[in-house]
Amino acid sequence: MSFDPRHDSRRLFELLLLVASVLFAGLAIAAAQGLSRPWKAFQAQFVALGLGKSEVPPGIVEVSTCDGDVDRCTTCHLGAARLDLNVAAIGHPFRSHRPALGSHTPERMGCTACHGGVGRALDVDRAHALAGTAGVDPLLKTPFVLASCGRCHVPGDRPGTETLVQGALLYLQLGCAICHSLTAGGIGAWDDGPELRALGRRSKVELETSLFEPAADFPESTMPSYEPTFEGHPEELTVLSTYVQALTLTRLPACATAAARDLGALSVACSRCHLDGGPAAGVPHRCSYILERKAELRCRGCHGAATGKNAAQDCPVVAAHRPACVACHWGSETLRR
Amino acid sequence: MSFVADVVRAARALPQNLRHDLHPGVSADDSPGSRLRRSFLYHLFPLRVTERALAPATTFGLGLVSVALFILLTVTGLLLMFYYVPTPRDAYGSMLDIDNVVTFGRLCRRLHRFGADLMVAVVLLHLVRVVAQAAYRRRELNWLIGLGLASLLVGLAFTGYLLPWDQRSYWAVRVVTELLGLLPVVGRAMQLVLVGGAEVGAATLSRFYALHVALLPLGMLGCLVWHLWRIRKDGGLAAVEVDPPTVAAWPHLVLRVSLVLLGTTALVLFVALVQDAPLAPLANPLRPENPEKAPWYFLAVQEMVSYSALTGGVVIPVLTALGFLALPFLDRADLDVGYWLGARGERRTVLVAVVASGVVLGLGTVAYLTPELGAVLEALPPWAHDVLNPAGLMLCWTALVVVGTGLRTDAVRPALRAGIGALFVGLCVFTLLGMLRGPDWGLASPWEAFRRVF
Amino acid sequence: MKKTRPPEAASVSDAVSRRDFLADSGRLVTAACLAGVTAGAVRLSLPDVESGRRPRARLGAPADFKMGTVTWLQEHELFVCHKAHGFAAFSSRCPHLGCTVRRTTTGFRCPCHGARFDPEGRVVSGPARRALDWFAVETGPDGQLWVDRSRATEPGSFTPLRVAAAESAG
Ligand code: HEM
Ligand code: FES
Repeated sequence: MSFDPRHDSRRLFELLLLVASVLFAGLAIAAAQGLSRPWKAFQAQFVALGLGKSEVPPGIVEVSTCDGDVDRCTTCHLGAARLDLNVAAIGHPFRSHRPALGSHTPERMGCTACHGGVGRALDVDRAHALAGTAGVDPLLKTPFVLASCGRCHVPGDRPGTETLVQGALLYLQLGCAICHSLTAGGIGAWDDGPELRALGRRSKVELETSLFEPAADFPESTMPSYEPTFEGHPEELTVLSTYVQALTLTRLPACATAAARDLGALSVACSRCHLDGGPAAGVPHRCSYILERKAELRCRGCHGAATGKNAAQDCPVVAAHRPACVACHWGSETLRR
Repeated sequence: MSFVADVVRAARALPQNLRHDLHPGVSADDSPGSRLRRSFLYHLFPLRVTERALAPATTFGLGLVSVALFILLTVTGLLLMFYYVPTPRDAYGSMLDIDNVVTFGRLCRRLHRFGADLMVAVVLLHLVRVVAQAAYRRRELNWLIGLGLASLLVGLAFTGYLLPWDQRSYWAVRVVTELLGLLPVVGRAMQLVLVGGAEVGAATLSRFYALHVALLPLGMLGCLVWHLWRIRKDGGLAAVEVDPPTVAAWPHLVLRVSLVLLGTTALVLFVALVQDAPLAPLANPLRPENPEKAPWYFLAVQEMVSYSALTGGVVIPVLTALGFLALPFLDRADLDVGYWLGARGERRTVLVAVVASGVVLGLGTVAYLTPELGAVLEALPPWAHDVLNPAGLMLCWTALVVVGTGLRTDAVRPALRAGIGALFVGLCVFTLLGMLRGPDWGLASPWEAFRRVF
Repeated sequence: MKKTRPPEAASVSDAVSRRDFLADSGRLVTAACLAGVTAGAVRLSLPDVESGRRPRARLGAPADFKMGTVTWLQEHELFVCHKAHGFAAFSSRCPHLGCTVRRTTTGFRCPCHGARFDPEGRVVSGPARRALDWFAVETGPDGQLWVDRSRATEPGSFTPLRVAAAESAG
């Protein structure tokens, strides 16, 4: 194979032209990608619909959230803070926030503090942590968004946190607290279940799998299936799931003292268990696991034949009594010590 | 008015003056070839190169691709520095901003990420080429510089990995710095120098940042220039012919080089157009992800470390490094230098060794993972766990292959090549296995592992 | 000196010329300076204070840890265990390469390279070569539980605390 310089240089120039053109095409696509601004289309649409106050769209809107980060959701959700856009005809992303926001305006707290998502992102998929953005906690959708109240509030201290109170109660009644303790990042009285906060956020489907079919994710699990418990009570399932979601959300540092401050407002939550100021008579065990193992657990030894009084300190259920406080005061520094 | 006339005259003569003044000694009608003689390029390229050096299959241009990637990484890295903030509080947010609100930021980050990935792969292949052609012969110094470049690259990839401050980077760095602490004598000091305190934290991030954007790239630039200069000093690519046919560097070499530079850039660009650079959730020092996986080029080490930190994380890497350092000083034969895998018979021996390694190491690893053998091994004392595992098997098998091949062929080179082949096969097995690791370090089916990645 | 070189001195080729001597000394001094500066730079990068956790830390009141429970104190990276025979504290850091282990129904497990431990932190399987680190627990003058990380103890060694016994009996 002899080397023909003329032929070779000609071929080289051709190839070089080809590669350079390919590179140019790539750069052109990259430029188009890089310069596209999906949010501008939303803002233009907002103005076109006659919803905007001015003809000039606001550009990227950034607010600081109460966890010290920033979010830019209101760049597209232009109506979120307005009361006048609550018309059925106006769809997302322009509609007003449906339950009135009160003091919880985006300017004060941002959106992600309650709704999750990636506040710094500006395209639909990423901001809402949709498919393909693995590893990011998904947005909290409607019934579950109430979980976020627990990031600052002690369940029961404010109207609107009833779901969390009900959830806490279910958590105790169904015996979740006995295995999945909430004390100081602790482990349940029977040493069984992992601490739910340590497991991190789980989707609705994952939560249901864990409740109905515990062995599916954790083959060694001794947890009973709660499928029969929730049969015909989908609302209880939602309430409990919301509560469990709430446990796994990090508390907002700015609000961490709110729990302590609001202790006085807690009568609602406490009275659920301490009826008439008495012991935990309001918590009938509904957990089949406990009921079936009564003998094995020697409940009688502590409770006596008939009454629920005189429980000894080391009874696992009594150990779960402390979690009962924590069911509402989770993450509250004052109560962890 | 003569002032105006002067300005007009100067302006009209500008193109010519520029050409003349900025290229001293070059006249407008010089051909590109003769210009090369006097220009800067002359200091990079020889005037003539051998025909063989131009044939694609000689080197596959791997070294050049690495140079192209180095340039790409430097440019994109410098741009990223404009926005990146190296503190634990702000780093992750600045990564999100680069991805989401910096014009061309996402592109830049992808180019940097995939460029780095590709560079690790290409440098590895470049090294394999040099070994397979015994091109280190009479180029001992450049071989050592090359190894220096490779270690700087590993350092860059590792330090860069921490910068996003996401779950993956945080835990990878925690594990690797812990691993460094296991090195004898200097380990603890190295760990302290890198971590800068008792825990991976702000001090670690600023140290890694300094290393990643200044110290290591500068070292790399220096070594790179030295490496390229040595190639010319050593008389071009390694070869055995006495008077090989040559061709002019212009245009045959210069255009090929341009082609490779542009082609590499285009390749990375197209990957960056379609694939997103990964970013895990914000680092959480209290909760590792499950499973916590290293980047692909560290998967083999992670897998070996999961058998034994000592064997897989210290003994094997140190021995491998020493082996590579010693390579050109052990193999003193001048035969077939510059040709793929040398003589026919030798090729067969190496091939047999590689295939046998695949079988032995593959089967050995599978056997190790069976519960039956696991139960037997568990009963043994702790020190036995450090030896009786796939990494230990690889080590012993490689030693066996080196000695066996050496005795059979009575030559050093095939023995070393077979040994390196065995090592690579082992590392491939471990990398594949590492890809299959799922939650709680259990093994997932290939399909599931594939789905998790895409 | 030039003229009076004694004949029995070494031959000219063996003798070190003045120029060579000076050059060599110069090299030596330069090398010493470089080595010194390098050593100094390395020394600089070795931190003298490792700001981090102190060896002794307060864990909380004994009554905070109910009998029969294992409590994970995130900020201390410790498990605190209260059993009939006393209190114990052991690390939640994997002794393999330092990841944070998680509780399972059978003990602990590390997500990084799959080490498993029994409920008292002894190695069951995987790459860890020693048990989770156990540290001495004591009551301080304030009646609170303290851990002392500088004092390692054997896995399974509990500190009997009368305070706690009295409290839980009462
Ligand atoms: C020469 C080889 C280099 C390699 C192999 C390399 C590798 C890496 C890697 C793996 C990352 C993480 C990327 C990611 O997570 O997206 C990174 C990030 C970074 N690199 Fe480099 N790098 C190199 C050169 C440079 C240079 C020369 C600079 C600047 C002078 C630079 C500046 C940065 C910066 C600022 C980041 C943080 C932003 C980011 O993570 O994307 N790099 N590098
Ligand atoms: S760090 Fe726990 S198994 Fe490696």
